[in-house]
Amino acid sequence: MTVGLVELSVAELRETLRTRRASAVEVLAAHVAAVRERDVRVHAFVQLADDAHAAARAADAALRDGTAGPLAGIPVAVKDLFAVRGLVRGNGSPACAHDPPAERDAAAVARLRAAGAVVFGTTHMHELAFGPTGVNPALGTPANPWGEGRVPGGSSSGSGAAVAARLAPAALGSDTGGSIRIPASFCGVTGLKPTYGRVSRGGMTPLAWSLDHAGPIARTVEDVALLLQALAGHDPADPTSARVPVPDYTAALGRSARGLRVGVPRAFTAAPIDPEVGRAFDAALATLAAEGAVVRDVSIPSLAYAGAMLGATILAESASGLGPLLARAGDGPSVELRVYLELGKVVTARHYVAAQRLRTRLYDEVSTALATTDVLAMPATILPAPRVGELSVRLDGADVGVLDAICRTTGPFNLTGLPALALPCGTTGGGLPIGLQLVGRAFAEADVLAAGQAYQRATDWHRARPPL
Amino acid sequence: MHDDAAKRLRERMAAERVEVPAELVDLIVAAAGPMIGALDDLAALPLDDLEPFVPARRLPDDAP
Repeated sequence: MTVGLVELSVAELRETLRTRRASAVEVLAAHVAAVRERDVRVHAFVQLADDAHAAARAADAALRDGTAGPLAGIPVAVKDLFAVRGLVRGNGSPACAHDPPAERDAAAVARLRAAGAVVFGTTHMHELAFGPTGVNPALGTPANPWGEGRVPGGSSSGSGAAVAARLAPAALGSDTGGSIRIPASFCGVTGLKPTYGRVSRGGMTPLAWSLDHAGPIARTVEDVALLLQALAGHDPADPTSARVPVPDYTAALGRSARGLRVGVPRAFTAAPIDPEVGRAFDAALATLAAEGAVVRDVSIPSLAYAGAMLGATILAESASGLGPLLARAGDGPSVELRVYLELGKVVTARHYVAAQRLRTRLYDEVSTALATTDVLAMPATILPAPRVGELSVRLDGADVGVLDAICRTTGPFNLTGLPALALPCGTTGGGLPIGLQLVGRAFAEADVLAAGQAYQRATDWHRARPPL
Repeated sequence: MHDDAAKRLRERMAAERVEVPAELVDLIVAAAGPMIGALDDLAALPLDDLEPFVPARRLPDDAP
């Protein structure tokens, strides 16, 4: 039973716990054992939480006496930039390794605990979330469970790898340019960047204020919906948190794809793109159409400037936000991080303001496209996981920088703040996962999740298990 | 990246006193050059009367 428990989804674990086929203590023990046995190879976890066993016992008591929350006894891993009571928040950086343990939980962590989840460890990440590969020379790079020598994707690298490798059924991540959806795409799992303001960022180390989001990574859309239900809601302590009612996300999952209107920004997704990703994306659209969706092209011209908008915003905001950390940390931060922060100097006020004004145009264009469609669809990433250390890739006959290529389809939805879901939609001939991205209107996560669930009902890509 | 764009980026880094290890300059130019080179294109676009995007204000206005 112990080995089998780590194969179960969040929804399956809930049923297992509800029907007493296993206790929360047994579920936790199975995942801790998996980490102890296999994380030597995966390198997803920074540390395990000493208080997890007590939390599991409390979940068992709540399950017995009928007071259990919706995630009672579900082990959840947390990216190491959220404060977790009693643990050092390492931020993926040697510069933070000697910080004192957190005295209280980040808001998102507190919400997970309030729903009964067992927060059992923290996961590795790209240093200070500043990078989409997950490569971290100082603290170690998590393995991509699907391909030796391939990046796991970042910055929530450990969260993506842990869920894919069956070390955790679900994990918390953050997303500034794609940092939930990129590891989801590269590691073959499901990740949601909710609408800006939907999930509190209180107690989460900021990278770029106007782009940062918190959200869940799990193996299925249903599991992501279950986690979002616990995470979503207004937090008066976070000035960017929205006072927008939270619907029942799982109730939306039963919707059929019949009549679902899917918009494809074809001019943006046609090139450059890895040919295997392009074929998998076309097949995903055909699957949705076969399920009754109506697929049509839409035009969003400002997507052509999304890379520059994202670069100007991240470089300027992070130079302002992380500069003081760099100053106090001495030689702690890596050369890569120092270079990024130094590059903030080449972004002038004129560049930054132009980027923010153009974000309004991009948002208006996307909103116009979504006025006549229910979701937009595109590849979650235009390439499968590149090799560790690869700087450029050849796509459609041109050399494309890896960093630009990885963030190409995710970054626009940090710029607009709209909800975006990444889910598996195929594999390459070499066995690497390929991801599909679905994007919805502001605070319409239910529509995005319903579309994703309809796709996962019709396919088995999310059930595939990696070799590691 | 074209040689002239790489040259412009090197000049801009020098003008702004960007302090990076000399051995990394080529790598930075290759990795970030195209994006940074596009910043001037961004600032040259006609933006009419567009105001800066403030997600915490705009998105709740458009909530269902």
